[in-house]
Amino acid sequence: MSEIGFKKQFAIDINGINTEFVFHVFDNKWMLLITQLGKLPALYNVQFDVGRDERVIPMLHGPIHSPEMHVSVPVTMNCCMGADSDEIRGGIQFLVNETTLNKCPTELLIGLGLKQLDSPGLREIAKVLDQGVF
Amino acid sequence: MESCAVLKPQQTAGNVAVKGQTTDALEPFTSHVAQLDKGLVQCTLRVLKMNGSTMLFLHAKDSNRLDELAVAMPARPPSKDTIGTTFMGESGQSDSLVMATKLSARYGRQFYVSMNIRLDNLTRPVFEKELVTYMKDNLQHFV
Repeated sequence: MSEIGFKKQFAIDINGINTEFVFHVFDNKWMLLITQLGKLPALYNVQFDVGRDERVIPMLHGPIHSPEMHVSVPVTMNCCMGADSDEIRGGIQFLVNETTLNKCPTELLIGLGLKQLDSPGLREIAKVLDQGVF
Repeated sequence: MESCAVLKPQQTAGNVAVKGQTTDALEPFTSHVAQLDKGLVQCTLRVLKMNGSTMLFLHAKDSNRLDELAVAMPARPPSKDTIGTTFMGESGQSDSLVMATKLSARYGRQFYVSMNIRLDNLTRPVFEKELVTYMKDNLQHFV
């Protein structure tokens, strides 16, 4: 078996659905592909409005995980390719808030292609990212 | 808490996608990395083979950048054209788009290409020949 071509590339079963993960660190970008569709989903470029080392005020720069006082990490997302939807943007923002993705020092190129975009699925993905990718 | 199980990786050598084919059973992704350093241009090649499409990253050996990304695919039959676009980086006819279009036309498959190497009129044909030769010799990683 040959060497894998990226920092991480594996498939895992999430809530009964085979999910492919590909992660690689480029000099100027992190790339993360998560798909249950067997192909590349819509791609988004995520820019962090406040740099990793400049997020010093949690109330402003997030993330704060509290139902009463939730604060997200401020990002700007651009859909580079594919269908642009609020659901996918919300899913990406959730993963940025909940995982080490918010420690990305550069931009992030992310593809999130889930058959069903729901909270349990996203939580499982966040767990896989923190345990298996970062 | 639902459990996660790592699937066994499967290598499917020589699985050539047929134009317009759709399968219910999805093949697992495979990836590959290689150094192309026999010719004038020394570069690193990363490949991600998906269902019906292939993603290629080409960058110089001493840098690991992702500046451009383009896609090209065969148009719907009966047209025999190849259509493509650059969706990240330079607008218009980028190097990535040219390469993606050539590969898509050659293999009848969707190609995503990120080409982050500066080539001139002298080095481009040499590099393309080296890449195509490598792909021909290692086809199972690409299509």
